[in-house]
Amino acid sequence: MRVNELEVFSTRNPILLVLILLIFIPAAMVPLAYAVPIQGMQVLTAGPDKWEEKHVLRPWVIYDGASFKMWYAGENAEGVDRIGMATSTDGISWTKYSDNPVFDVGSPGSWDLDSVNDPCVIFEDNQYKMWYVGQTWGATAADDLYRIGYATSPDGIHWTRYSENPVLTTGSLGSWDDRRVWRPSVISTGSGYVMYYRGAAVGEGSQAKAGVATSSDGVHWTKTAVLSMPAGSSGWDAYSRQVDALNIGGVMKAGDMYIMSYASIKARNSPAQIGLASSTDGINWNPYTDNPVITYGTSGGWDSGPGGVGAGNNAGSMILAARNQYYVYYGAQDPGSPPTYTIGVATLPISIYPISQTTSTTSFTTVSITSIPETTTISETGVTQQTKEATTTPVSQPFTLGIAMPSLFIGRMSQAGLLVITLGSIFAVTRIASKRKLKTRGIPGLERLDKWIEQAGELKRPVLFTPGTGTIQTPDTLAALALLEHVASRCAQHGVHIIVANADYNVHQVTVDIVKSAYKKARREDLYKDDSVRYISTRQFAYAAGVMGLLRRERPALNVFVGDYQAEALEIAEAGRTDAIAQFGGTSNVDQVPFFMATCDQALVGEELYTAQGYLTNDADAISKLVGPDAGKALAILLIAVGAILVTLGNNVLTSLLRL
Amino acid sequence: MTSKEKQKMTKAEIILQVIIFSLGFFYAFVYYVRVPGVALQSAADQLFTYLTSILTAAFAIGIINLTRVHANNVKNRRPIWKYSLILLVSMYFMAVASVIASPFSLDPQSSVIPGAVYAVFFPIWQFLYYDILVSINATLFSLLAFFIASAAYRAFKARSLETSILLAAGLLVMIGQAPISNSVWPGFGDVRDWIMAFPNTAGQRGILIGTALGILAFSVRRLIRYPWGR
Repeated sequence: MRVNELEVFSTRNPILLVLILLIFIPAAMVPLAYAVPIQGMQVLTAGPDKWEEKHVLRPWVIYDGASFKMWYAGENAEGVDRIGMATSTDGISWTKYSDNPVFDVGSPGSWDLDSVNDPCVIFEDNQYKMWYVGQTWGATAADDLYRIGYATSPDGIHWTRYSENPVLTTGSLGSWDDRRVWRPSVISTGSGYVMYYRGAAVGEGSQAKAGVATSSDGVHWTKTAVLSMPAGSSGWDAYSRQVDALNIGGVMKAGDMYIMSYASIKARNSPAQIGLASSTDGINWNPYTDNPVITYGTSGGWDSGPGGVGAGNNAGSMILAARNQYYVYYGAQDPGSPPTYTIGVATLPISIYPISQTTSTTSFTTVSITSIPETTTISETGVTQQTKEATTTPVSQPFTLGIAMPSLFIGRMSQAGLLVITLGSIFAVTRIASKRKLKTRGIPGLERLDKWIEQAGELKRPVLFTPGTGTIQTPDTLAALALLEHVASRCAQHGVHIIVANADYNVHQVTVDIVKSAYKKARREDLYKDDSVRYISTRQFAYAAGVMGLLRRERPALNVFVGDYQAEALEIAEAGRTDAIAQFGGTSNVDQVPFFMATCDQALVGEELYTAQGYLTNDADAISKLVGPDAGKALAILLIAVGAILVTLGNNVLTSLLRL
Repeated sequence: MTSKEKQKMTKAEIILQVIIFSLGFFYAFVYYVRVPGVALQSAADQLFTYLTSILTAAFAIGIINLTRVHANNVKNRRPIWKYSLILLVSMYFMAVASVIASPFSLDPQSSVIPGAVYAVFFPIWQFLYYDILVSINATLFSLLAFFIASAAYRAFKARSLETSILLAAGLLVMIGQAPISNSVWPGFGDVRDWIMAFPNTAGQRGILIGTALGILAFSVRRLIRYPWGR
């Protein structure tokens, strides 16, 4: 039984547009929907001073209610790290302190004479307290010794080392951290301190883990636990969990919740991404549901290096809450050889881990811990002090757009927005074109396809159709199948035998259906034979050889090869050319387009491949679709022109908004 | 096909279309929107794994088609029946040899298939794969060099203004790429770089943008209209 097609499937019906929009409406709803992972933006680069000419990395940031302060490691050409400071009013635009570095390597003979980095700073009791890593280099990198020291400062610039440094050193031989300890992340409890740190054991292939230590004074530490992180649901951290490595970044505490940033990799040598985890006791952690939250770049930019973001011994990451959102600062490497590390930030909505206003800025001093087990006790003093800090710190600043794009508009949200605008333009113009029966531009040479098929019928020779080596998921292949509907239909009408040569077994099934249906519709089932549609091979050149053989043996009058083609296209085209067969080609692969143009009598290029079917069917609705993409092109041209002008004027708003 | 025929769908086709639209909607939603606390991506991944399994099963149908076409050639003694016979024998022998003794063997530990059988088949598999298949593949790939030359010869003819520009640009790039160009005039390298970096890149990006928009319109159309065979 046949019924009328549902009106909703008509592209002229506004209901369709509403349905399409429905996909993306949730994307605009804050905070119900949020797309991760996102890419952050670069905020601090190396140089120009010599002491930091090679890299800047391992950032640590605090927020005092009005402005941000960052301590970071800078590396010179000899690979020596020192610590510098920078300030910012918005967390995005940073000004380096003019007399950097603020913390230099130790004097000759000291435990931190070769490098100092990994700063972790808190402001407490009217002074800045810093835990940092000091390095003593061995004969090889594997022999380098990393230990953690302590220093204080009244202004964050002039530092005084603790006389009995280092305060946390490697474990006894055979323990999990007997090789090195680094990347401290300290939380003040009011009555004491908790430190999260990375550690690694001696031995090739040993993986870095994360440990916890507690102290009553910040200088005498007791190691209490080794952390373990459960696997994420999406497999983004499969390799890290497989080898039980925990690349801890920074830990903050707000209210009863601990929040950690950490990096993981999916497979061996794959780029790292940053995820978040939460805990109620600081020991047992739960990964965030939609990890990773920050990913690496792929376009050759500042975060497109093979190491990814926030990973390894160098990059580092940390998280703090301020101005009703989370800021994750991290190091990332570019794809240069050797890569350069720079510092970036990504902002995430507070709804990821909802915390109250009064606790949202506690990363400034961190807040009192109420549930660190075993060695920490909570005193009344600690609670009182935390309350006092909260009231003296202005926190009720609005969620502002500012110079930096808010995280909501970075990544796929902006893509979704652009898609909605483009689709809206396409369908609006399509409707107008359809109603007014606008005359559209033609596709040169397309009308010759029908004539060639007719001639094939007169010559009693077959037509060869090859949809290329793409799979059923390849857009070009799908466009080729749409064109096959037309070609098979015309062949059936003119009594022409069509031969289809497939490289993919799934495409094969679809082409069988299309060709059979076309002959059936024209009541020419007699023309369909078992070998009308053939599966050749998934191997590229075996497929080329098979098609070249068909061209030589079957002597088709027309060779239609449209779809996803690589190098095999030229072999097929040249074989057809040698036998003086009319050739109709088409692909959107820009590397192959020149060969199609050189060897085919007619060729479809780029979007012509996708609009050809509409043109050939001569249907007003379908023809009007040729106009729609042109509206999209006009939009693209406008965006490119405006973007180019803005970038030239030094404004990156549009490029930030539309970044992939 | 008349316009009236196009407006009709069977009930089965409507159901199929609804399934297609729902799945397309779901994947688009998962790509663009993440709802904290709901593992939609995980569900999409599992669905995709299921889809991949189904698609892979179609491989058997491809093999059946190949066997049927070439078996008919042999049976009916068509002109190329000897090649068809060679193809069938090669295909099935290679499949058996690969299963028994190859890096992809189903029994690499020889727990079922005796080691002696492995020892016989492995050199044969090596010969077929490395000495025949890989060599033929490389030969076909190498043929491209000659095909490129013949295609370029046809393309490089100054028949019109456009082809004249193409000819001039192609010659400059080729000269710039040749090692000797630097000793003739060092500027050839810069000219080549400029052509590749600006006109060439601009043209390629124009095609890419057009293709992306074409795919967009085409995909939406496929998502909302009955797909194939009409």
